[in-house]
Amino acid sequence: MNKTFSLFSSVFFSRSLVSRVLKGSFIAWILGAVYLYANLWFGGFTLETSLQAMMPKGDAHELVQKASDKLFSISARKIIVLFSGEDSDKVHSEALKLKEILSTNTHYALQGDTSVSNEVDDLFSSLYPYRFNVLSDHHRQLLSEQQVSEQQFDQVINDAFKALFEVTSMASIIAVSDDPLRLFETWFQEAYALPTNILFEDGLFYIADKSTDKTANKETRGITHIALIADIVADREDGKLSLDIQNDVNTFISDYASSVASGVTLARSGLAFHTAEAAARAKGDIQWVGIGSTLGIIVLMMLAFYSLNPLLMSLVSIAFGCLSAIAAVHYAFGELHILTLVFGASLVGVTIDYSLHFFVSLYYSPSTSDDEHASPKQALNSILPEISLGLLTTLIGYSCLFQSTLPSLSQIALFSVVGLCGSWLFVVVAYPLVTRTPKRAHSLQSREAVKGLLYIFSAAPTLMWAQLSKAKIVAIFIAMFIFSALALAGKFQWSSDVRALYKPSPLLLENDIKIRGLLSSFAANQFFIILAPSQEELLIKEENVGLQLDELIARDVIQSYDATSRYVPSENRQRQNRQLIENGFYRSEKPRAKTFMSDVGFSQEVINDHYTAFGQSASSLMRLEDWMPVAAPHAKALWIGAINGQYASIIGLKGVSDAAPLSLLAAEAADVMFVDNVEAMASNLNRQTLESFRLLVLAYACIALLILLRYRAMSSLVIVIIPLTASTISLAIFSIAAIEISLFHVFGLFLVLGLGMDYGIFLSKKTSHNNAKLLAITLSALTSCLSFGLLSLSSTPMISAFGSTVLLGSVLNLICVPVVARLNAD
Amino acid sequence: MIKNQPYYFFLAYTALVFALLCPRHSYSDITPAEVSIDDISDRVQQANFLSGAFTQSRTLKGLTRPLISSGKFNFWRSEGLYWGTEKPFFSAATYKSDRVIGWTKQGLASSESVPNQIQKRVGKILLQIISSDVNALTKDFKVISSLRALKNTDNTDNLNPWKIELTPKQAITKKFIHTLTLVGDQFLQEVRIRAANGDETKILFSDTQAADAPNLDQCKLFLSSEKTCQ
Repeated sequence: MNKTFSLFSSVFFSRSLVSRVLKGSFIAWILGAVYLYANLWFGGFTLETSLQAMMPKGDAHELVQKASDKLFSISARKIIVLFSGEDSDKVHSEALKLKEILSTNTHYALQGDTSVSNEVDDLFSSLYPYRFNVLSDHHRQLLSEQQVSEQQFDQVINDAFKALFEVTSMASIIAVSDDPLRLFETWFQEAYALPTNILFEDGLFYIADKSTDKTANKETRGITHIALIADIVADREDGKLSLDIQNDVNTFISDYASSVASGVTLARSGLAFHTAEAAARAKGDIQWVGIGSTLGIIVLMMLAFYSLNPLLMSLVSIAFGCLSAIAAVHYAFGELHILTLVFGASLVGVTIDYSLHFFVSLYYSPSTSDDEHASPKQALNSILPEISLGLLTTLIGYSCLFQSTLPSLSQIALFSVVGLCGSWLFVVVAYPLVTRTPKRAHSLQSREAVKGLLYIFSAAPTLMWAQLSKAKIVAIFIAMFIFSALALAGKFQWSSDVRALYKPSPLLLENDIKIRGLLSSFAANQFFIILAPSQEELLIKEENVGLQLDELIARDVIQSYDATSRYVPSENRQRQNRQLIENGFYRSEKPRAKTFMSDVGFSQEVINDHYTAFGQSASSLMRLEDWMPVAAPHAKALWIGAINGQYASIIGLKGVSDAAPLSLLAAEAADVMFVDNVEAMASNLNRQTLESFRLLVLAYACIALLILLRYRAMSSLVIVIIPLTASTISLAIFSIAAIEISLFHVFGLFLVLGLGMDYGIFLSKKTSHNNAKLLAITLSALTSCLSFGLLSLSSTPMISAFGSTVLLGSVLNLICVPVVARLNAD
Repeated sequence: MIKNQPYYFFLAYTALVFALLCPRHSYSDITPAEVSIDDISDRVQQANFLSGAFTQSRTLKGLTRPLISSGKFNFWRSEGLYWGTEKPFFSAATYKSDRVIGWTKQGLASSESVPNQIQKRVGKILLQIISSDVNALTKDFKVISSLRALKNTDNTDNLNPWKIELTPKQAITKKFIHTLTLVGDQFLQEVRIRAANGDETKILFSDTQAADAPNLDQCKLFLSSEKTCQ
């Protein structure tokens, strides 16, 4: 079988027909890529960069996703700028200054701008006709008891009477003759109340620090906090924010922060700042890693080949693969995620091996002629079976990622498979056409010393293993596995920390905590989704869940909640409310409202008008359609509407101290879901890590099978054992260093597998040119270490995890791989 | 000369009767002149603690007669305002920046609540009004007119009465205040608040006393159970 395979491959690849087929495939490949790019040109290119999209999505439940997106779209655009200081005038003038600037900038829509008074007007006039259908929680409880005593009615009337004389009653939003018992006004203030520690005035939010200064007064004592809340105006057609605008906002506020008066501090909070910071950091990392690794690789290539051509050609082949992959992924998925681009391109980077083997073969192998190196065609033929087998094993390895249910993993799988094939095709078809045989004289005169050094360096691991007997080598490997197993058994831990994806800078984190402490808002990651067959049933269900949530507020499980039914009660409840009001105060036999109005001194005409208005409003019910146009954006976001033949809405939660009772509530009620995105994301990340790891094990198994079929000898499995050993020891080292293993470490292990397999396959062939192969392998490992090793210093945890895994894995691959040749030699 | 004496006597008598009948330093009887906010501010005694009586009259749309109430007030610059209505019924509350404390007739705290937005806003304006802090008021209100009497009846310049008419700058405050009129001398004498819907609230202050600090009984009205007055 072995012989047949070798014979077959040598015959197969030497045939001019095969060469023509490859050339034809290459042309077809280019045409295909051109077609896909033409598609892209007309259809538009979408590079997904948002942090949320980078996170693994929850269970692919359309509804949860829609609800999350809706809440997210509200919170993603919001920025909060907080000014704090002891001198309240200074703080006020700084806040006012920024407010003036922002109000003239079309990028921002200030919350509670002058338009707010019109909004209140609109809101008030749209709700006014339904004033007899609403009751505050307090009034409803009071009036809906089985046996309402006369005293309870008296309490409502006495409260209304007292209010008439209260000094603060001048601030009524509705005339006393329209709402004599203050039932509507009490409900309105309850439904539209701002948090109690906040005073909103003229576009500025004055915040009393609840935690530190109980009696803090804006004018007199303590620290003054004034916040500005603005929405960034979406600049993309899909209503999202571009990275550019988020960068602009971040730069503007950062610059502004450095120019505020002394004694005033500026804190900021908002997703835009995090996105801009993450992007800037990634860009910074990529820049210095890019420059560092490029310089290193240039030096390395110059030393090895005394020419930049091999480097340029290697980069062109990788670029060719990546460009094909970008078009294919975009065609298949309709978008390309930045995560796919970064990790996919890294995985395709393994094809630098093919180029290096080609050029080492070209520059370092003797040919039939004494004066020249091997011709490009000869060089290619000498490596083609190995790089083809290498491609096959890597393809098997990476395509295992297709098994994943995570869209980003599938994207990476497609990217790397297409990229690998593209790069391989470029090497086997384009290299012989565009490269020339280097002059031997050239290298003889000037490169021998360096070549010697490189040989020694690359041969060092071989020399190390050469001194050991086969049994000793096996013993060492067994010892390494036992050591790794012990280390892993003792300390190995999977990471499900979502902060692995992105870790904000301490300053931004501190700002966030400060603002969250002062200005608690509804969480975008913990909420209920309620489902019902109709709008009315949905509102009723919300009201029922609301009753349970009231109990949880009393138990301090949550601070408060927000639901559409608080603004628009169900028709059922509106009828109940009206009935309670009518029975209590407007019935002809006991017209308490009339008596009250008369006692206070209203004219008979005014009383009659009021009763007529009450009678006429009997059939009018407040509907969602009346409220929607005037509702505030955050309230509007709670209503999802019709979806899959049902209606859905969100109940927003504030100040969740314990998620367990909320999960329990949802578990006990039908069609009520508790969504906990952080928890879901963590468990999802964990699930994906385990899944990728299982796929990695599967990849090893498939590759081992292929190697067995190819070489028909158990000893050939040593090729698979090399990357396996490198990976196991890497994991053991991470475990000893108490580093939790995340999805991105596992990605790194895929690359370690691809690289290790390539090295092993080349060294498994018994030839007299092992030195040249070792040199190519050493160059490959060094380029990997340079490009990925520098990534390990990244401040973004996921990039660092990936980089450090590949760095460690490459070094270990390089150290262990001569064993393949050593065992083959015996 | 002698022939004219009864005429002078009549004038003097009339002046005396007017002086006795009219409220002290009534603004309306004196020729006004424009005055700066700083000038008014200088005239007002900036005391730490003020106490006195009030009579409130509210004229509401559709009501045949005004709603009249009266009672006592205590203003403590650093703590807030106690507003105790005694007639036609007892109802008292202390408005602090972060809470409202309700009181029983016996002087016990009956309730403690967090003020809502409107109560806070009104509370803040009220504190500025009672302390006649015209400088603070002009941050949120536009001055329509500010006048003072040219000369006092007793020729003491520091008691010169003044009157200031204000209108809110902020759209939100305009919802419930159309114009705000303050009349006073060293203390505030009268406040008139005309609401946007035509309702009017008029408060007359009397027996205003200034002090550096409250006495023990007054102090208790500003502190809830967890704190005690020294």
